[in-house]
Amino acid sequence: MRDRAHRAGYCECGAAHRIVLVMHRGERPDSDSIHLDFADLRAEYGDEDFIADILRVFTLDCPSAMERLDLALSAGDVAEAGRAAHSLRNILGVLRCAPALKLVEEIAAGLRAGDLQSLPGPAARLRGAIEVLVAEGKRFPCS
Amino acid sequence: MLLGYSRLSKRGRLAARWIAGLAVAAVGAALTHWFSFDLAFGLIFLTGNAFGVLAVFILPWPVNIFGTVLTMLPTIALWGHPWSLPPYLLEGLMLGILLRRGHFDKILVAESLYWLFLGVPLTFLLYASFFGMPADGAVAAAIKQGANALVNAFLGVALYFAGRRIPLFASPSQRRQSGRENLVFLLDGLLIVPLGVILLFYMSNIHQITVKNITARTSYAMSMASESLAENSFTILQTVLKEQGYSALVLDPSGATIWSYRPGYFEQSDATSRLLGIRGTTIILGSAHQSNPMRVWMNAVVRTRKDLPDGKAIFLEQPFGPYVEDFYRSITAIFAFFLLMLTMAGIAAYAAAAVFLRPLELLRRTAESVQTGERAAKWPEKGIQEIRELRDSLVAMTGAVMTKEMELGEAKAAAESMLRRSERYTAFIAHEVKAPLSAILSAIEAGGESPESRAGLLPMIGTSLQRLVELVDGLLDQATAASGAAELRHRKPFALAKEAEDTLAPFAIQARRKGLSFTSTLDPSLARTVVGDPLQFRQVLANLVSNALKYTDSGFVRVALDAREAEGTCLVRGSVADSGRGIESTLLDDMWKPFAAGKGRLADGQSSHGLGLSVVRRIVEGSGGSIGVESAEARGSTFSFELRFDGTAEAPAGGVPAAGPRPVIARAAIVPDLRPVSVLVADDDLLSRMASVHFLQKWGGRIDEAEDGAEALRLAERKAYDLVLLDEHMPGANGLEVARRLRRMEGEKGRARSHILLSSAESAERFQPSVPDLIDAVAVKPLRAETLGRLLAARFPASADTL
Repeated sequence: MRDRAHRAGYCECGAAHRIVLVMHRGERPDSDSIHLDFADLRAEYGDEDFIADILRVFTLDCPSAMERLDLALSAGDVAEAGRAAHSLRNILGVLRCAPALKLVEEIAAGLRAGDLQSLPGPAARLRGAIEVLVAEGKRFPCS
Repeated sequence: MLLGYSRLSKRGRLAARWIAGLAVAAVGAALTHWFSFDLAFGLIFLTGNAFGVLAVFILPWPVNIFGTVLTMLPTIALWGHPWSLPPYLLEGLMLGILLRRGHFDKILVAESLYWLFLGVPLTFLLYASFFGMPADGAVAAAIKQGANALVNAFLGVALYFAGRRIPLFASPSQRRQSGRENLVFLLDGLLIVPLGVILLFYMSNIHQITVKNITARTSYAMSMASESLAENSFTILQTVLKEQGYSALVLDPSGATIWSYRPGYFEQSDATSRLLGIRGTTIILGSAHQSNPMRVWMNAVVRTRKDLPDGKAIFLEQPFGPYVEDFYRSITAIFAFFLLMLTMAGIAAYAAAAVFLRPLELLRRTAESVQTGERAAKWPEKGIQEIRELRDSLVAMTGAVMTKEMELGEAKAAAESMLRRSERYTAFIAHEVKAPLSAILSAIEAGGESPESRAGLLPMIGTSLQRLVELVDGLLDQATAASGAAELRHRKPFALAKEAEDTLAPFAIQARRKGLSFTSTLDPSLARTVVGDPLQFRQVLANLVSNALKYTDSGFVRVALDAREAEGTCLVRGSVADSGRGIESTLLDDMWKPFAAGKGRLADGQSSHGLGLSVVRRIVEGSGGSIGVESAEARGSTFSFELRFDGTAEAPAGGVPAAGPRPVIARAAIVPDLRPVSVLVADDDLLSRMASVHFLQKWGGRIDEAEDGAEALRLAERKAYDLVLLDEHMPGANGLEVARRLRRMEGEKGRARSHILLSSAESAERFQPSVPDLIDAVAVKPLRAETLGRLLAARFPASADTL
């Protein structure tokens, strides 16, 4: 049984773009279920210009932090991977993307436990999620 | 079939029980017919009835009451009469009823009592009346029957106990074997088995001894008779025979009768007789036509023969019946004794089991009474050590359960009371919110209908909104005061005198407008810095003074405050006195409860939500202090309180400032007012920093940003900030290190800042209690406007014009 939660956001361009957050009860969210919730961002920050500003920063910083994480994981550098995960947590936190944050927390937990073997999967899903989020961020305000 | 019994249908199980029960009864009948043995002179011990008792267990009700009768049917053939059957039918009926009612433990004692008081007398009556048996024989036979039945009942129960785990043997309810049943069976067996064995040996021996004595006596009579015959003294011979009760017959070698005495006695020929016993030349003959063994013996004769040297033969014969009747008479007492012993064994076993198990039974009853809520039952005082220990454990367990029950009852009552209060609370809030909202709605509607009157409606809307804001403020204050966690979050050093002066200043203006004399006496001892929540201090003072002004129409309002050290803490004492209308004595207790104060005290046009005093009391008592009131109607009230704060520091320069007019401060619900506040945001993450700055700027703060701890320290060296937001994780100096160094700067420059640490959720709780001196509050990242706004609103309340 799927448990769907829909949140709708409307762009100034006039087109009604439905922003859907789909969660599968008891399952880990995958990259397909991760989207930017612009209605939530508007409710929180209010100012469209400001949202545009943080999205610009996000589209630059987030892939960069993800790259740092990938490199650190491939090199087995736990400390650097931890710092990169911390940056991703901050960035995604500002964008209020809970499913992606959950993936970051999963990676951070794996790093704390020293279990690098379990991380490629979550890291790949996070990478895919960030690509989706960045693409959506670049389309703002017509998202 | 036995293994598959549990898988059978209900009808199949019934059929199986029928078949098994009848088979067992048939086995019993066969045993009765072929494997019973003679105890003595026709008194036969029947073994089959043990299976009859077992058949009663197996056969379904009510057919099972015939179980014993079925096994005893062969006695009709054996004994030549059916009169033994009625007692067995009654026995089966009794057993069937007992089993149906579940009284398994009473079976053996019931059997004993039945045969003693009903079975044996009934058997005697039937034998003596319908069978025509002599009284002596009937008594012996009846008592033997009773003893025999008791032994068989025990054997039957033993067979049932052995097989009761087999589903076919008993219904599920019957398979539950109680300790009492086991104990009764064991004790009964210990008594019955030895008694039964003794009885068997005794009867067997007494039979042999009796036969031996009679044959010896007959031999003696024969010797006397042969001597008399040798002397041809028939006269003497006749005298001897008459005295001894014998008949005699003398035959010549050809077999012709030479002489006889009462020859009619020799009627039983070999053809019509059966040999009952033989000992030397003496034989006991019974009638072949008699089927009842006792009658055979009672009608038997003892005959002896002696061949004389001249070829003659002498026969002596005597009826055996008198000897048997003598035997029956003598054996009756023995049988009666055994029957009584067997009965006593059954009763004693039941009584012993009852006595032994009585403490356990009492324990069970008491436990049941506790379970059902009765309290009358008493715990047993006697019993073996293990039972006393079990009792003590149960008493302790019951006590614990009852205590828990009481606690649950109290908790339930408290919860119900809270629920009722909550319902009243909700109703009150709804009413208080609805009234101003209705007024606003009416005003808007009126404004729509008559645009020219809009300006006149604005004051009414403003008043209603103001009332709503006051209500929300009061609710927030109460929620804050009720939350222990809030106290820790707001703890910081603050100057008592300054807070008091800032709080009282607006009230001086308000009093002057109302024409009241307003006096505030701030003792020099207030010139000190304490650690605590300045907001709560202001709430206490403001609520009390506000109330005094509200309820005083003329005269004065006087405020007095001082402070002293007490047990390592700072005790702030205060009093707020007024010359108002006072408080009704009936309200003195209830006025501390939410929404209770103020009722009946307000003049027309005044409003009160009755939250202030409840908030004040929570704060004061939460600090470890106290509050009280003295009041007289129409003469005024005096509230006195003591507030406790941790630690004191030296007084700042300047002493106690005088109370003067200052702008009225009204706190907003969530939105802080940062317009005069300088803020430093130190966070290495650009996006996080942007979000923080965005919120702070929106609330009017003057923001400086630092990308790391070192830069934050450099900026703080050059400029005094009112508020510093520090990220926990920064390159170089982390948030805590920066906070530590900033505190050191504060000590040098004499200016206190609020430090808010931005931390992850898992770290937040760790920092909160551990570094209260460095950090005033912890905000969890990702930062939300609502969270940060609530934190800051407590320190930088929004001014009235922001609302």
